[in-house]
Amino acid sequence: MRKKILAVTACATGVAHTFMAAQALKKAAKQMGHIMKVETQGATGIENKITDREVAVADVIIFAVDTKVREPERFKGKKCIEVPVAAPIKNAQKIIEEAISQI
Amino acid sequence: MDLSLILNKEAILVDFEAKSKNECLQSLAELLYKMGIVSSDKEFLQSVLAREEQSTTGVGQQIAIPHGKSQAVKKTSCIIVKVKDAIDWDSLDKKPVKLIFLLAIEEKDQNDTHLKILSTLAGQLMDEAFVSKLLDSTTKEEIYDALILNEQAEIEEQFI
Repeated sequence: MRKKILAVTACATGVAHTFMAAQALKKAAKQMGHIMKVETQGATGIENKITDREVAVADVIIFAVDTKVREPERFKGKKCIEVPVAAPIKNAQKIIEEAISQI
Repeated sequence: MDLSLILNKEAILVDFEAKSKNECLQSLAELLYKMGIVSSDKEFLQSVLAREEQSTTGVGQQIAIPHGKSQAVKKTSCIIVKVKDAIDWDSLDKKPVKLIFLLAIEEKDQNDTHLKILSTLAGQLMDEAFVSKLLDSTTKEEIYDALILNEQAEIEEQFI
């Protein structure tokens, strides 16, 4: 089944890993046939910001973060998993599978 | 993506020799000092090593993307190094590293353009075809062209 997955990525410096993790997740989701949107919380601020409507329809949310998630109240009550930002860079498919197992 | 804003051909090195990760980072910090990109190689190196201590920057596929954010950085820049012999980097996939992207980031970079370029570049390194093209390159020119010509394919679908 095609799932709707949201992700937030963030790392300490906010320049490299945040964006690598985002790309890795998007790529793996596409290969697995799921729909994914990734919000990056980096040195340039929040980009590709997730909307309340997207949160409402999402099946699960992945937080791939080494820092505190900014504006976390948006995701309250949703199913989610939290992993280090390096985890999807290493194996994004595994992280997506883990997230889906929460649904 | 106008990578030429933060990268010139002089900042691409091939056949670079270093025995270890630390030796490599030290020589590159010295090089950045000589190039006038950092005001102190020691101070910049410290920020890079501190970042390495948090978690490895060896992201797999023989690529490492070490980076330092420091007051010693005068201009946000990037140097790209292809090493002669692969270096152990304690990478996520345990493979030694052949291609190093060292990012020097200004402590208070108000210029979003520079950071955006670096972020885009980092994201592109998740593209296997792009990475293998870089790994196959043997000259500065080939690496420069591969970087400049690469355009990130949009893989996002409409969420709602």
